[in-house]
Parts: sequence; structure tokens; C-alpha cells
Amino acid sequence: MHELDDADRAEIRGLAAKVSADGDARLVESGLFGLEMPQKFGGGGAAFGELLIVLEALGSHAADSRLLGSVGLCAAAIVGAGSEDQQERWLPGLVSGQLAGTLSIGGLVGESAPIPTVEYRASASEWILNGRADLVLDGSRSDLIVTVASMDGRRALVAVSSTSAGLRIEPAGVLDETRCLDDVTFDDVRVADADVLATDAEVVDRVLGELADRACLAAAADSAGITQRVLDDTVTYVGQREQFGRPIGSFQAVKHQLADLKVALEVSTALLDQAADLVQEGDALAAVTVSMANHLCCHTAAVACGVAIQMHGAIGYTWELGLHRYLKRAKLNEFLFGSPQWHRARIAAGLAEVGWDLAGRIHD
Amino acid sequence: MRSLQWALQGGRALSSTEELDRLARDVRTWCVNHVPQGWREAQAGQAGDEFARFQRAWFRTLVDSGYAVPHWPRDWGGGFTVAEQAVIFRELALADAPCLVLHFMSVHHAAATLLAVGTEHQRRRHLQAILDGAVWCQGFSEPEAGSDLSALRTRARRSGDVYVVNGHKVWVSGAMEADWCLLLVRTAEPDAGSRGLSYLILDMRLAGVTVRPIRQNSGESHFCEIFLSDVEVPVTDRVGAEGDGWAVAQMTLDSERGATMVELAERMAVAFGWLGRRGGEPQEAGSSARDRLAVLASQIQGLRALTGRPASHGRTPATPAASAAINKLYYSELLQHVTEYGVELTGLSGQRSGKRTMSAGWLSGHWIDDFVRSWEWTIPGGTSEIQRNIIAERVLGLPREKRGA
Repeated sequence: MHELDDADRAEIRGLAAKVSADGDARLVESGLFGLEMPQKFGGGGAAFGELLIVLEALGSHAADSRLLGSVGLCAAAIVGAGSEDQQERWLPGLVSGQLAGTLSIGGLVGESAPIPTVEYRASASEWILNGRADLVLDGSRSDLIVTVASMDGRRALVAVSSTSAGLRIEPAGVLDETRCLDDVTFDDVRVADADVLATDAEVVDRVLGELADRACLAAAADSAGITQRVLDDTVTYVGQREQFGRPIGSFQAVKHQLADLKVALEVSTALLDQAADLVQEGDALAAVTVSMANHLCCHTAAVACGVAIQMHGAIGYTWELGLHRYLKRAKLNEFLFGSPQWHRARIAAGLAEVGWDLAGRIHD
Repeated sequence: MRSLQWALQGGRALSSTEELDRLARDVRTWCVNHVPQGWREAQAGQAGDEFARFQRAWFRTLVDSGYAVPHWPRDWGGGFTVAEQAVIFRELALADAPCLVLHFMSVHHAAATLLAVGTEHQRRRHLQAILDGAVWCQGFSEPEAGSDLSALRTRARRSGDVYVVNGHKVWVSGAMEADWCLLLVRTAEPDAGSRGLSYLILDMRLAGVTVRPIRQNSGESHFCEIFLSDVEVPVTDRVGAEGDGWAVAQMTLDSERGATMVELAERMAVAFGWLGRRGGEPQEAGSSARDRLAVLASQIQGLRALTGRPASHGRTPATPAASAAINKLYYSELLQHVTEYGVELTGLSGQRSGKRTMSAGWLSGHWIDDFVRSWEWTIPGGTSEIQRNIIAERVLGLPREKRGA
């Protein structure tokens, strides 16, 4: 991984802003799918923090993109846990968009979504998966589903082809139409040795920890993009819409709510950037800060969408204007990778562990 | 006019994690040797002369170490980056060092204003004097000019080499102990509005200056009225050009809303530890106490991330004035939430009135007292409502509200 400087980041931000509304083909063509992937597989070798910039831009358009599932999670799992052979097999396709992937991460982030169990049949050198993973991002649109499976109380990471016999994928039918979530059932799904990414507890735990951080920050970045977008749109609208002979944006009852959103946006994105840095540095408070960033960013976006609709008046809750897409996506983001309550519990538990020392004193 | 940000930053490169860790260890060692033992107990209930004596002694100790003004430029005894300032303030807070209350305005407001727009002579004269212990206060508000500062009436008439000043200032924190005052006056006719204002340095010992304390809701008399009767202020003590007072005053206010926040955010992070250990420990995971603590912790970390982030953070940069308003609004309202939760955690027994330790600052850990005092942040330096106007109008670009006739 090579260090990008501020100018590189500004370039990524500009590029993402330009192409993120144009669909995945354009993102692939611009090199954004491969941004973070190892250079030998056609990637840009950037850090996850840079991918977050793109995810934020996608959020600002409520874009229906495979970026998160395919490269942000699936490819990252393969990079983290897969062998050299496995990386060569799958990464080029994921980066070029010819292969679509996702990660079934239920039961890892969030409360208690059941995960499939996996058992090993030594006689046939194969692995058998049984069980169910609910609300998997892009499940029905993926060629490859990397799933966490439990094995005699331990966990394994397994790559499952969507055409495997015994795999059933049904749309979950969530209200947010900009996202695809599906229920995945594993019924004696056979997986060859070559498709098992990791069974070693140490590797699995490390990679799952990294994937959890990624997933939580991805939702936070998407929400930050939503907040920025609905705030911008609302500022424009209240500056133009006139009532009582003046723009409604001149009334303090209106402008103060937007000022509060601006403050919340600044605070939550500062925390998001810091969380990404701490993850990169492997800081002791990284996981706690990730949850904090997820909590603040996702909450802020949900509030922002509510304020945006209210400030637009009746036009705000029409189907046509489309603010409902942002509201639904923001509400989904709050639960996509850990609920607010789960994150708060994780924050408190993490802080209790360090004696509630928020100041993060370094130790001699 | 030079930007405040430029004036305050020594232009140093960002420091590495190792450098920051080394600085933290240095400050920590220094604190072990220099933070007065048992100062909280000794200072409890102290006000007036004894409070001032203790503050002056502690300030002198800090100046000698180089940690009193880390945010000043290197030439004047500072030169630490924002990240380094945060480390210094964090270690001072963790070591439970006394807060600089008496000299707060000297090292922040007065210094920032002089560094940004003072003449070389004014800087040479006053910055060293500040390090030598000079105490400053700020005379902006008047009985008829609060949020609408441009309506102020204190009048300065030019007469040869002096301005003859007459008027009445109010809500001036620390005026009883102050040697100097940052004074905003009118040098043109009232219909000139904010364009008719000028900014003076007032020597509090001049003839015609009368100070009268006002008792606050906490019971203390930290802020005061100042009456000015034919006070003769040398023209050389004007900061900025005649008629530029409004712009200079905005710089002073930006320093209050901006640079001070790095310190205050670190103090808040440490105070959160007291709350967490009191409220979070006996609780089960998922309890409402832990839930509330998790939210406050997130907000405090958000404040620290906001105040501590380098200027080159890659997002659209806010102007110093904009980020100052955002920081001040968020800090002051969060201070209210944090202290209010402290009151809740300490229950009925927390209602006992203790002897206040003024040198403990705004988060003393005597929560009911801290809560009652928290309006000292949501009102002075531009109320929260004014901050929201600034953010909406100057940052978001929303139209101004119509002014009355």
C-alpha cells in the first residue's frame, strides 16, 4: 500500500463527485473499483480511507452501486484471508466488474442474525454448509458470496458460488429501493477445499474484525454523503422559496435547523476521518471510534433527511421530489451494519475496558 | 487584514506519532514535578486575592516551562502544531493541573488580536507583558448592545493624540483583576452602524475608569460593569485603523470560538472519565446509563476530532470564522449536556453546595455548580442563536433576516 497525499485525495474526491452518479461501468472505467486493490491485480493500492471518499460520493446520489459489496467487502475479505491462488482467481474479476461479489456478515456486526454452520466431511474433502443468512447486501446480484460460517464453535470464511446446488436466494424486499438485500438459505451446499478462505481462528478473527470496521465505516461514509446532499439541496430550496414576501431561508426558525445540521455534519465527518485514520494506525480505540463514527454519521443523516423533508414543505414528501429515497436509505444505514443500540453498547463496553479513558493517554 | 489562522500557526510541518508521544512524556514528567499537590482542596472556596495569587503563581510556572502559550507563534514562545497543542492540553488535563482562568483572555483573545492586527510596537509591548502576568478583559457588550453589538454607544472622540472615551460596558469577565481591556467604541455617528466602530486598548488604571462587579447565577462575581467617564486613551493604543473596529472585534471573537477549543475539548475528555467511572461501572451492558455515556463519549470524541484536525483535512475547508462558530456552538451546548448528566448521576446528594474551586475551570466535577455555570458558554462571545445565524448566513449562505426600521 502506498501513501497518498492530500492532492491525491482531492483528486479522488473530485473524480468520485464527477462519476458516482453514472453507474458502476463508469466507476470501473475510472479506476475507482480497483482503488484499494493490490497493484498486481490491476488496483491502485490506496488505503480504505480513500475508498470511503468514493462511498461518501455514492451516498450523496443514493446510488445503486456494487462498489461496497464487490470490492469494499468481498474483495477485502479475499485480500485479508485468501491465499495467493484465491486472490489471483477472484480479484481481477471483482476489480474489472466482470465478477460481482458480496460478504454475508450477519451475526458479526449487529445483533443476532443467524449464520450458516459448516461442517467438514473428511471422506470427500468437502465442506457442507447449512443454515440461513438474512438481509445479505446484494445477495441476489452476486456471483460470489463470501460468508462467515460457524464450525464447532469456531468461525470460518468460505467463498460460495451463487450457482451452487442447495443455495436459495430470495429478495428481502426492503423499503429502500436504492439497495438490494436478500435472504440466503444454505441447504447442504457443498464447497470445495479450494473455496475455503480461512479456518485458522487467529486469521478469521483478525479479518472479521477488519471487515466489521470496514462495514461500519462504509455505512457511516454513505450517510455522510446523504447528509451533505440533502443539506445542500435544502439550502438551495429555502433560499429560493418565498413566503410572506421573503425567502423562507431568512427565517431563523428555518436557518437555525440547517445550521444545526451543518454543525452535526462537520462533527460527524471529522470523527469519520479520524476513525479511518485510527483503523489504519491500529489504534487501541479504533473499534470504539468506528462505532462512534457510525453512530454519529448515521444518526445525523436520518435527522438531516427529516429536516430536509420538513423544510421543503408538502413538496418534500412527494414521491417525485425523491427525498424519500434518501430518508429510507439513511434509516437503513442506521441498521445495516450494527444498530444504534448495538453500537452504543460496543462503545460503552470498549470504554469500560480502558477505564473510561477517552483522552487516550499513551502508555510508557 | 492577515488571517488569524496564519498569524497563529508557525508554519511547522505536522509532527509524527513518535514526536507526539515524546512530547506527551515530557509534559507528563513536568506535571509530576510542577502541578501543586492538593491545590483543589487548598483553593476550594477561594476567591479574590487568594484566587488571583494562586492563578498568577501557576501561570508563572507554566510560562517558565513553555507550556503556557503553545498556540502562539514560535518567535513569541509558542510554535506548537494543533496536534502538539492537543497533547500538551491533554496531559495538563490528565494531570489535573489547574486551569488558566485569570489569564485565559490574555493568552487567547488579547494575544490573538494583537498577533493578527496589532502593530509591531503593540506586540512587543503587550505580548511580553502578558507572559509577565498582565491580565486582560474584553469590553464589547453594553446595556443596549448585546447580540446586536453594532448598536453600541460608548463614544470615543478624537482630541489631539488621545481619544476621550465616555460610556458603559457590561458583562466584562474578570474586569476586577484586569490591567488591560480590549475595548470596542464608536468613533463615528451612530448611523454609521458597524462601520463607525474602532478598537482600543484600554489601560484599566486610567483616570475615569470605574469597575463594579455583578453577581452571577453561580453566586460568584466574575463579571463586571465598566463605567468610562472622560477617559483619555492614547491614539497609539488603537488596534487597526479607525473605523475597522468591527472587523478587529470579529477576530477577537473568532479566537474565543476557535483556538481555545483545543484546550477545552481535552478538558472535557478527561471530565468524561469521571462520569464514566461513576456511572458506567456498576451497570450492565445496554443499561440506560451506559447508553447515555456512549452518546456523550461519541459527541466529545467528535468535538476533539473537529478541534484537533489539521487544516489540510481534504474536505472543503471552512474559513476560520466559520469553524470558530461551529466549534463554539458545539462545545458550549455539549458542555451543558455533559454537566447536566453529571447532575443526574450524582443525584440528590450532588445537590449539596460545595466550596467552589474557581481554578478548576468550567468542568470542576462539582456537577450542579458546573451545570449552573454552563450558560457562561452559551451566552458570552455571541449567543448560541447568534452562532446559528453566523453558520447559516456566512457558511451556508442563507439570506439575512430583515432588520427592523
